[in-house]
Amino acid sequence: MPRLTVNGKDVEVPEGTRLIDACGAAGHMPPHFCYHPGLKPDGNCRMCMVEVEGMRGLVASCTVPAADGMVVSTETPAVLDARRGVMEFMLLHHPLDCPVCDKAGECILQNHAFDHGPGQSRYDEDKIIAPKRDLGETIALWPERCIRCRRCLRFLDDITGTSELGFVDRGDRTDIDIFPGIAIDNPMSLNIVDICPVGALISKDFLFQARVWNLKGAHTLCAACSRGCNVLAEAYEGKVVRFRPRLNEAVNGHWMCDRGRLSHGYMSDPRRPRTPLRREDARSFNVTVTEAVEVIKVSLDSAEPAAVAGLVTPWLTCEELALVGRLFRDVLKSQRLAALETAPGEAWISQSGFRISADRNPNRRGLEEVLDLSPDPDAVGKLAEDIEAGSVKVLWVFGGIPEADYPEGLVAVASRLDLLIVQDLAPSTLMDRAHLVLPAAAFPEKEGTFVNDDGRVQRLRPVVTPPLPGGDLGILAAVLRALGDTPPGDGSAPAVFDGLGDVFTAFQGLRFEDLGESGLLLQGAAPVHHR
Amino acid sequence: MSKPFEPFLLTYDGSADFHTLKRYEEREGYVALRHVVTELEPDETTEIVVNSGLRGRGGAGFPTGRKWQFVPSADKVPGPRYLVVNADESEPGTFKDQILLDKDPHRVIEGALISAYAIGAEMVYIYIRGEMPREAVILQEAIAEARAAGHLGEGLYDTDVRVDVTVHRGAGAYICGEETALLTSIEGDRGYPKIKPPFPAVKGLFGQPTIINNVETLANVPHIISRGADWYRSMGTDQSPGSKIFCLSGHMKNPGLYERPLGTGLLTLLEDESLGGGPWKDLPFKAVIPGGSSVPVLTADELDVNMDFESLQAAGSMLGSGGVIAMDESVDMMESLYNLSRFYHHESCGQCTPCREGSGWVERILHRFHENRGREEDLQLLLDIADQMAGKTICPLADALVMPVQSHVTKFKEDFLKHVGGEIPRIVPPSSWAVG
Repeated sequence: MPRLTVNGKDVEVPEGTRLIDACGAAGHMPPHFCYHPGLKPDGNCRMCMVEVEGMRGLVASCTVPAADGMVVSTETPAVLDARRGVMEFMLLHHPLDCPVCDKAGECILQNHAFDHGPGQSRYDEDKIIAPKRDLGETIALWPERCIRCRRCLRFLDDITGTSELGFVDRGDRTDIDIFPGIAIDNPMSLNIVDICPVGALISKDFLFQARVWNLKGAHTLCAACSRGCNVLAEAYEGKVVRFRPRLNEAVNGHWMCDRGRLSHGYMSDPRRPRTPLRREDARSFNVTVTEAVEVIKVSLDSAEPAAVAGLVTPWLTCEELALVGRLFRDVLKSQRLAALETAPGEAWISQSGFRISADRNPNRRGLEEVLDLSPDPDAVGKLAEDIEAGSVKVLWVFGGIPEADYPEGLVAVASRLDLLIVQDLAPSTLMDRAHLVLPAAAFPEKEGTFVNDDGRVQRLRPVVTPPLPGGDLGILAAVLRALGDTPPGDGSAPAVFDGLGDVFTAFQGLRFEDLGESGLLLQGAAPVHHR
Repeated sequence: MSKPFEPFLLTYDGSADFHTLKRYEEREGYVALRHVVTELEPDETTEIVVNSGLRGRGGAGFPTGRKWQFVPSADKVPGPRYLVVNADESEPGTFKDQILLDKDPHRVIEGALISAYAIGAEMVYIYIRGEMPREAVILQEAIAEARAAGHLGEGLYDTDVRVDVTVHRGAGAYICGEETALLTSIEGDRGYPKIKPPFPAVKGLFGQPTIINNVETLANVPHIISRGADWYRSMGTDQSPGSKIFCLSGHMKNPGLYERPLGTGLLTLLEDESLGGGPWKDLPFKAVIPGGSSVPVLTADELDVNMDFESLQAAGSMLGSGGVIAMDESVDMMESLYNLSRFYHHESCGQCTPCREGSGWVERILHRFHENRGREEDLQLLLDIADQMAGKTICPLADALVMPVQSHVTKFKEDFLKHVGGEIPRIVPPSSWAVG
């Protein structure tokens, strides 16, 4: 383990650490453009230069390994002068169009210009101008903003291995481009928008949606597959507008896939139910939560335990599943629980090992652990048969699958039910037949946990409020209270989670507050990877 | 000098078949190669070159034998070794390698094969500049001749030594003369210089130990093997032994290639009747670039200097590639720098920010001077830009522009001031320039 001194402070770092990260560990991260911890260092921007005793001239700290006994200075007059120089060079041809640039506010160039730039340019010649252009379905290029750091090229070369982008021409005429007619097309392409230090690469999905300083963010998870990539979800005026990956070396590293990133449209779909809806005879009308809970209570009170059934999905959090189990199995004494799932997609592994799971359900492991239940079309078919036969009279559907496609057999017999409760995100043929529609919460509106396919329990944190206060957990807790039960912590996610360890060995010793940013493995967890 | 110097690199006699194997064998061709392969160990071969004090002729002047010794042993780094011949001669004012490839290709090949044997390489790549198609063909023919005659290939001279040569043509980028960019180019990638360390001797072509030597350097090697280190050291200076091909260009009576011992006086080169022959059109010299376009320019008062690595360094310039560009009083040094800046701006690979942006900025400022729209404060700006480029990049291309900028602006300030203000008309070349 090399020990070195950075600005007079001693620091010890693991073997093989780059000098720039060693400086960072000492609290003196040199400013940089081309260096990215998820990519191989390239040393082209020349911004991270520092002085090292005994080494000639300035040293680009991203290109040298930290070595024992190094004495490093990151703020000497020579270093500051070189930084000013690089900043002036970087901005020679930059259009300075921050007021209309998506990146403004989170732009490394903008930040460094404020912190290290000379404040004004001595450049009095013509700037190089170039029109913006398309690079593919999801990405557009503003070439004038580009600082040629090669982060995007290195990502496509080393992470995805697809190498769609290359440099054309050289010197200050260097331009990023795709091969003629061959667009950027890989499942992780939008990561290059995140790692672009400037606003050169722009996600068309987010273009002109919001100024980033107006965004409200939360550290949560992606629900697009069973990997549980750690993400930063960001919302503008109560609407989720962007997902970006959040570092978790044990799961997704620095990256996420495009499918997950772009899976936020349904949350702000105008057709999404936002208040409880009661349908009686031919009339339908909005009801309050209290009225809805009363309807459910009355119906459950009068029904035989065997005539009450529930349908869940692996899109519910462990806590929601736990309360569903408590309601059906402990309070109602019904064993009629079945599960629906999202159809599998295609698995994909990048050149660097980043994995997209074929299993498109975010909490299959949670469902298996908490309810000992696996999605099973046969069980759902049996449920439909029993409804038709009249032995099941009340069905509560806990949906949550975006664009759910309920089996026709189930939809066809829905009219035989005394009470069909559909708690879901989007209109469906089943919802059309529901006696009570409850708006479900989408995952960026939830507090709780998912268990990914490695068996890692990770936290969801809400970035926007769900349509119903308290979300799905709140409704379940209210119904439990109405039936005379006392859910732990009044149904709060941390309390419900902390209670899981008492019942399930896999959750033993795991506490909600200990899950932190990157989650914890279930006891005895082994990865189950669906391909 | 007691006895007259006899050139051994530039021996071309004007005959049309001088480059053929038959004629080369008459000049002791491949004798040195046969000697090292059949009678010397690789280490012994290297030692002779170390003792000769031969220094790289590409510009940096690094001791050649010591470079070879940097190749790690097979137990440290297993796998193939490569010898790469840098024939990407592109430095403005330099044209010595081209003549060697054109007229004496077998000498270069033999030198390369000896070096390959010394470092344990079984493959030699000759990276030849894209603008030398004729030389590439001549090299190919020479390689075919040598192979047919058993001077390269499998089982050389009935030993188990095996070495082959491939000619790799560049696409005409100056940057590919920089050794790491050259290797990247051979590997099929964009010619970008790489960060050192790791040095090519340890991790070079295809990740394997690689030695890159200049054409002229390698042309010296067969002579050193044949005649010995002491013979080589009898020429030149203590620190810069041997001879050097000087490329005289510019306003001289007899521009051309001249081989002389290192340490020969610059004034001798410029003015001796058998060499440069003095200024063309009898205008006095105003400035001389002594070692290829990227080294600091010398004023008329600084010409009393010897042409070896140490003396030129002491005089604030560099021997570089030995490209001597002489300019007489008719030259506007602002235009000289403008011309050079256009070259370096065009050739900057664009990888490092200071060089990519600085080279273009310098050219654009000088373009204004060229149009007589300069400003006095631009001179300080040019020096500031040079300062911000100097020593802050991966490869020395930025410094190759920095040195002309600094030397031109500080030594010939008045030529720049003539272009300030937009009042003075463009300088008309003197009528004496009309060629006859």
